[in-house]
Amino acid sequence: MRSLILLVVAQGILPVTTVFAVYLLLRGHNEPGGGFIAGLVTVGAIVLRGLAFGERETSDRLNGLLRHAIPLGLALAMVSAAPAVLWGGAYFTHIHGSLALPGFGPLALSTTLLFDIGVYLVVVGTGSGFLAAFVRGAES
Amino acid sequence: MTGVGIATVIGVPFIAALATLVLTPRWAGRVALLAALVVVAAAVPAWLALTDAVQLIPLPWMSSFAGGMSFRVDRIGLFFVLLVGGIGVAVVQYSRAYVAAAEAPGFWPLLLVFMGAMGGLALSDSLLLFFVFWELTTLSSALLIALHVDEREARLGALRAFIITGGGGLCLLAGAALIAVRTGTWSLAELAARAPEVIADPLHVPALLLMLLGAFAKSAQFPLHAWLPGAMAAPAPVSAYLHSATMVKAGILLLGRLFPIFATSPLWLPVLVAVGLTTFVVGGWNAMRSNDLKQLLAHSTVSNLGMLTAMYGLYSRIGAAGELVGILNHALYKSALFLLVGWLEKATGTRDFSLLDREHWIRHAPFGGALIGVGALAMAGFPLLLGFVGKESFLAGVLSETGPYRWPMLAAAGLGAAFGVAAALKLFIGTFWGTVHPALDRAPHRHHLSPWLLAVPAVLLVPQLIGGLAPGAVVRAVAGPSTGAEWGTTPAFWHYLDGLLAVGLGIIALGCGLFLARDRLARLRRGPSVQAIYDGVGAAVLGACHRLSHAVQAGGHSRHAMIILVAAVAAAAPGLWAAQWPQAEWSGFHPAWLAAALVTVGAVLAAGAADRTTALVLMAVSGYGLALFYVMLHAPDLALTQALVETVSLILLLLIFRRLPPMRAERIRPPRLAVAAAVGLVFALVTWTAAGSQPRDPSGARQAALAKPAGHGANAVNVILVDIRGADTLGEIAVLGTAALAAIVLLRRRRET
Repeated sequence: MRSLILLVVAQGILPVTTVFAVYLLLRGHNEPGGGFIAGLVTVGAIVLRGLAFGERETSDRLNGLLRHAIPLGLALAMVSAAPAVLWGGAYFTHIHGSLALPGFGPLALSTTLLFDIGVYLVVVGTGSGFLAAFVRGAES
Repeated sequence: MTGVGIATVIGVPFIAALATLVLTPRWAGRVALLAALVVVAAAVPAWLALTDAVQLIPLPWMSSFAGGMSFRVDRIGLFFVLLVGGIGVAVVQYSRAYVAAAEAPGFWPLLLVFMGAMGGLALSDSLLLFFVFWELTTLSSALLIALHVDEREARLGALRAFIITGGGGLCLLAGAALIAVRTGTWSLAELAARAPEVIADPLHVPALLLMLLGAFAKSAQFPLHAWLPGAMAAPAPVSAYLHSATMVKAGILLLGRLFPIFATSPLWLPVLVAVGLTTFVVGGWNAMRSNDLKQLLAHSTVSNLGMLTAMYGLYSRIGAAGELVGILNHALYKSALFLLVGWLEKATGTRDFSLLDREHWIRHAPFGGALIGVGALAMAGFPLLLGFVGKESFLAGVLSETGPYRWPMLAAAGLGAAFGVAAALKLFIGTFWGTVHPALDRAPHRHHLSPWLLAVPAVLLVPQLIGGLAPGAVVRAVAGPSTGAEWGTTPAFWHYLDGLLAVGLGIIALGCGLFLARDRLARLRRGPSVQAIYDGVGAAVLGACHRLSHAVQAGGHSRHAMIILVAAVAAAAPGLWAAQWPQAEWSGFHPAWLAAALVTVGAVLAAGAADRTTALVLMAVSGYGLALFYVMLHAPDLALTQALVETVSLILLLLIFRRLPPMRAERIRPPRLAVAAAVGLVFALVTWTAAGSQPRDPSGARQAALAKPAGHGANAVNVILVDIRGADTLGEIAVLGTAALAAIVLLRRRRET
């Protein structure tokens, strides 16, 4: 069951969806999107690629990159909530700031973005981890 | 001690633990030594500046939930920090020379994690924080027992220790939560200030008993002591550090924290004294009859912990001097003895008493033998050592009882102490003064042994001598300048010629008699050990679980799914009786009907589909219909999520189905149809009534209104997720990640078996 359409689509899907996921992640604070949704988009792309090119090949390619995504994401989410403690604030007091970029207008930055990236990594790590485990389980 | 000092004591070991993950064992040992020294250096100035007041250092942390996390600095806490740091320095230095431990993967990080957790435990004021550190010590202890994971004994011992002490930790949490619910605070200091109010509440009884259960499990009190002898599978420095000097004393520390709150409870004295003295006697009896030197020390530790527990029961009579000196005394001589037995095993090639009993080892190892002799005398509580002071305080406490229980208590204390004397004599005389001169070929590597293996225990034994010569000074240094008056400035021999001295001499005489009769005692039949009973109970529980899951899961997936669904319906249906039915009226055509039609058509067709792929795609149609609903209800985030989850699960299932054999054509069976209809009906009704119920506190609107001003974001859903309810999200991704890791491990295991 190898479909040419699927192969061609799946070929370029990861880079494109990753850019789309980053877009969803960044705009999440003000418009529909966010870490969880962005993570799901990437997981969908990974699984689709697995369907087209075989789980083993996809899993082997991504394993090095995403092996530690879950602990990394959890650690990032935990750390992102911490900086306020240093200034006497409570844990999970997020810090918001703004960066003036010349010719671009102010760019809002906050530690919630780091938190959202943590969520994204955990979701992506879960999806790709399942794919890898499924490959191993299916080989038995 | 300031916040920086506390952060140093707790944080430095954890940071060092991270560092040792990437270092070679040699450098990891150096870093660990540095971390232990830093802990001591941070604690000593605070100890010197200590006053009687409890210094509280609050840390704002989810203050709306647990009233904030707070640390405290007081005598017993700092005493434990110094104990953990000081013995930590000794044990780390010993481990660097003890190759079997230092090169095992995971040894250094786990030891350092334990060190940090123990420091945090000693300095916690919030019971919640206390619990977190408590379980961290449980976890690191279990993993250290299983250091040589390829040995079956080590794995079993680790599991036993984890289940018993971890279960005790859960009891502690339950008891603490009960108290917190009744009083509204988790803070030990505040609870102590409101002690009469706490005691007046009848519910303090179950709370106290639950927390005591936690303490007893951790401190290996009868009958929860089954885990400690099994923990001896760990290498010698781990046994010395965790399972004699510090971790097992965490239960005693908990008693010290609970004492100011519950001291006037009628339960306090009888429960602690009864459990403590029973443990004292049982542990002593087992120690005397052990044939493995490490087992002997483990049972003797159990016995000593029983003594410390009983002393907390009598605390209001003997005061801090007896308790803290008792802890210090036991920590010092017992860790030294564990380290010396570790050396002895390397030097002689065995820990088996029946072999050493015949071999005259003092001839080949006079210095080590002398050190074990000093340790054994301290263990027996002989005069001119700190051990004498510890045992006398205990006996004084027991003798202070004047009621009808005076004689049973005295008999138990005397008997347990005599067992301890016999075990100590066996350890020294039995091991070193046999009749035959051993050949050296059983211990070929003796000349390779590092001198540190003897130097470290020797240093640990020095305070025993100081305490024996100047007990008053040691007691004052440990328990405060206002104590220790009764010890004066004379050596610890006797301070008055009275009943106490008679009891002490009687105990030593009885112990010598028991030692001489050791061969006859060894022939007595052994009853079932608690460890065997524990293992039997464990096997029975696992067997019952096995049978239950077989019964539920027999007959393939479809039957398994049926059982789950029927259980879900049975759980949800009763709630419908009390439900409020929403007011609804017919309002003509609405675009949502299209979405509803999509959901219904997809579901109905999926039920009748002939093969899996078709059914899957039709179910996805149902799911996308739901996403359409969310779009119409102006919930774009929810719609996006629903569509994506639907897509991902569709592709994932397609991937799985590709590997399955084709589905057999089956006719629809009536029972399954009935279950399906019941599930659909009940959950439709539950959803319908959910729409009609009014939440008591509609916090959603309040949080949504906060999104822009407080969270600086226009998308309220996302601001709530990452900011306003960020702790919930963190919990959720932790669950998601943990579940994924567990599933990955399970799938890997299936392949291996």
